[in-house]
Amino acid sequence: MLALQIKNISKKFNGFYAVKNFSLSVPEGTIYGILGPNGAGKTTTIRMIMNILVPDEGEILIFNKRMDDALKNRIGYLPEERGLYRKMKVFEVLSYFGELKGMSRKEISKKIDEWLSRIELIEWKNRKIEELSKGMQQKIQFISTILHSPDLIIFDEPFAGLDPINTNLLKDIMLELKKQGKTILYSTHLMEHAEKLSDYVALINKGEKVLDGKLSEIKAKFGKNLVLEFEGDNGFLKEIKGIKRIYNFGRYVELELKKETNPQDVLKEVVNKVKLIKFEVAEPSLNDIFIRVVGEEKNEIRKNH
Amino acid sequence: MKLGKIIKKEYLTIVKKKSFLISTLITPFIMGALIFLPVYLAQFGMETQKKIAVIDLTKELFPELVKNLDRKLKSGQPVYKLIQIKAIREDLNKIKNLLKNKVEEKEYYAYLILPEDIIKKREAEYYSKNVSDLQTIEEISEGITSSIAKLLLKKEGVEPNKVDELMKRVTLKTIKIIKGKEKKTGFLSEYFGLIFLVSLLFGLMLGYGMTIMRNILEEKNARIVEVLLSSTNPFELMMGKIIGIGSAGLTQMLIWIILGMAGFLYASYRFPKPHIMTFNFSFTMVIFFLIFFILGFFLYASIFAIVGAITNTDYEAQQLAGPITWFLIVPFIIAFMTTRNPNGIIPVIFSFIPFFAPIVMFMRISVIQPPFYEILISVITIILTIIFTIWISSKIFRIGILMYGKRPSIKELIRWVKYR
Repeated sequence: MLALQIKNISKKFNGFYAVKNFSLSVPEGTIYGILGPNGAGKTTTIRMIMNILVPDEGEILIFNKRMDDALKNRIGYLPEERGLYRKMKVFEVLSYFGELKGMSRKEISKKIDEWLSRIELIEWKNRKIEELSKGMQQKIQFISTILHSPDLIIFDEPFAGLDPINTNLLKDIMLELKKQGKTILYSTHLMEHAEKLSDYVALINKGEKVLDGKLSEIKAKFGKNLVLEFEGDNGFLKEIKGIKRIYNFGRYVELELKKETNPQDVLKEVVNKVKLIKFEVAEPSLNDIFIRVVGEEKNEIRKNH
Repeated sequence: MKLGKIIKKEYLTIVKKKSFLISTLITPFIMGALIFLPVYLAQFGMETQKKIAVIDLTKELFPELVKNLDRKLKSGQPVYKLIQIKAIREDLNKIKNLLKNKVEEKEYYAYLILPEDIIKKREAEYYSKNVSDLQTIEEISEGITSSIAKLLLKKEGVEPNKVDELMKRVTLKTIKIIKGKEKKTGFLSEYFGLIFLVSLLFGLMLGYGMTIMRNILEEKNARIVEVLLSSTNPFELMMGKIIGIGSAGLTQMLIWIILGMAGFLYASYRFPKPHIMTFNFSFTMVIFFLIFFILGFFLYASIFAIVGAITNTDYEAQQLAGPITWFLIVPFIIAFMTTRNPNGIIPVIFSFIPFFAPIVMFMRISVIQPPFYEILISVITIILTIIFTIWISSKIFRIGILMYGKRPSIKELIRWVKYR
C-alpha cells in the first residue's frame, strides 16, 4: 500500500515553475529521500504535501485520502525553517505540539520523557528554549515531530546544521521508526546522507524529477564504475576501448564502462601504460549518478540547439 | 477540539506573564487615585486643625465643650483643639489684647469667650479673622448649646451617663436618589466619568488587539506557523488566538470590575455625601460594557490579525496599526457632543457605523438609555461586520503568515481574498 501518492503536481510562482509535473509513490514502511540541489523544488513539494501550498495542477493522496484535519494527526512534519517558542520551557512546547496532535496528557508526559532521554536532553526538560544551543533546539524540534508516533513523517532537510554525531543519532532514530512500520519522507541537498538511509530516492532538479526508484535498482542500472588512481599523464585513457565516459577528478579518474566491457581487459591495458596505485570496481555514488543524469540532460539540450 | 487547545495556550501565555499581573493590579489603583484624589482633596484636603483659645468665665463649661466638639479630621486628630485660658473678669481686656495678637499671628484660629451669664443669656463671643466660616461657627455654637444642656441636666441630678445618652446626636444617613433623575451630579463630572469608562474600553480594545498583532508577528518570525499548520488549519489558528487573547482581556476586565465595585462600595461608605460620587457603576452598565468590549474586540482583533499576518517587523506593523488606531480615536472627538446630546444626529449616526459603534453606542447608553431598537441595530451592524472582517482576515491570514519579505500591496491582498 502507498503511504503517499503524488500525481503530476505543478506549482508556478510569478510565472515560472517551482515544481513541474512531479509524481511520486511512497510505499508504506519505507524511507524515501527526495534529493536535489538548493532551489530544486524540494521544499515547495513538501509544502504542497502538507497542504500549506496548494498545487496549481495535480493531486496528492495520503493513505489514499486528500489531506484533511483528521489526517494531520497521523502525520509528523519538520519544516525546513525551524522555530520554537523561545520563551517557553522545553516540556511546555512539546506538550503543546503534542496536544495539537490530539494526544492525551498522560501519553504526552510519558513520550516526552522517553524521547528526551533518547536524545540525551532530559536534564533540559524544564529549561526555556532560548537557553538551549541551536543544535539542541534542532533535536527538540525533531522529536516534537515524532512525539505522537505518526504513521507518515516528513522531514525537510533534517540534518541541516547538525554535527556528525547528532546526524547519526537522528539517522538511527529514523531507521528505528522504519522498523516500527512508519513511513518516512525526507529531503536533503547532501546526497551522501541518502546513501545508507534510503530505500527509495527521487532526484529532482529545477522543479522536475530526473530519476526515481529503489536505491539498489538505480545503482544496479547505472552499473559499476572503475576507479583508477595512478602516476603519470591521463592522456592514454582516450585510447582505451569500451569506455563510455570519463570523470576526471584530478588525482583519480572514474570510468563509466560500456555494458559489454570487461573491467579485466581495461586493467590489462592500464597496467601497461602507467604506474597504477589503485584499481577498484565500485558502485557509483548518488552524487555521480545525479551529475551523470543532469549532465546528460545538459548535453542533450546542447545537441538539440 | 484543537481550537480549545490553542485558546488555552494563548490565554495562559498572557495570564501567566508578570506584566499581566502587574497591570491588572496596578491600573485600578492608579485609576482609583485619579478619580478619588481630587474628590478627596476637595472634601477634606483643605481642612486642618483649628486651635481655638477658650476663656471660660463660668469655670464649669469647658470640659463639657471639649467633649462635645469632638469631630475628627481624616488624620484622626480632632478638628478643634481647644485651649483653656484661665482668666477672671478683671483681666479680661488685657487677655483679649494678648489673644488678638496671637490670632493675628495665626497661632490661634480664633478665641472664644463664655461669659458667666451664658446659661441665662445664651450669648458667647467668638473672635476670629474669618467670621464667614459658617461650618465652624455653626459647629461651635451647637457645641456650646449642648454643653449647657448637659451641664443643666447634671445639675438637676440626672446621672452623667444618662445625660450623654439623652443628648446623643442624631446623624443623618444620606441616601442618594438615582433612578428618579434627581442625581445632583453636574455635567462635567458626568463627562469625566464617561471619558474614564470609554478610555478603559478604548485601551482594552486597542491593547489586546495589538497583542494579537504582535503575537502573530512573533510566531511568524519564529517560524512556528508551519509546524502549527501541520496540526491545525489557519482559521482555527487565528480564531484560537483571537478568542484566547480576548479571554485574557476579559479576565483582566472582570478583575477590574470586581475591584471597581469594591472601590465604589468603599467610597460610598467613606464619602456618603451625594455630591461626591461622580458616576455610577450600575449592573446594566457593566453588562453593556462587557458586550461592547467583546464586540469591539472581535472587530478590531480581526483587523489587527491581518496587520500581523502581512508584516514582517514590529516597526512595519506599528506603522500599519496607526491608521487603525485613528478609527478608535474618532469617538473621543465627538465625546463632548455625545455627552451633551446623546440623541443628536451625529452621535446617532456614529453609533451605527461599525468601526465607531462600540465606543459611541456605549457612550450614549451611559449618558441616557437610547431606544432599544437603536441599540439592537448597532449591535447587529457590528456583528455582521465582524463576520465579514473575520472572513476576510482568515483568507489573508492563511497566505500572509507564510509570506516573508515584501509587504503585499492592496491589489495582492484582494487577490488573496479571492483565492480559493
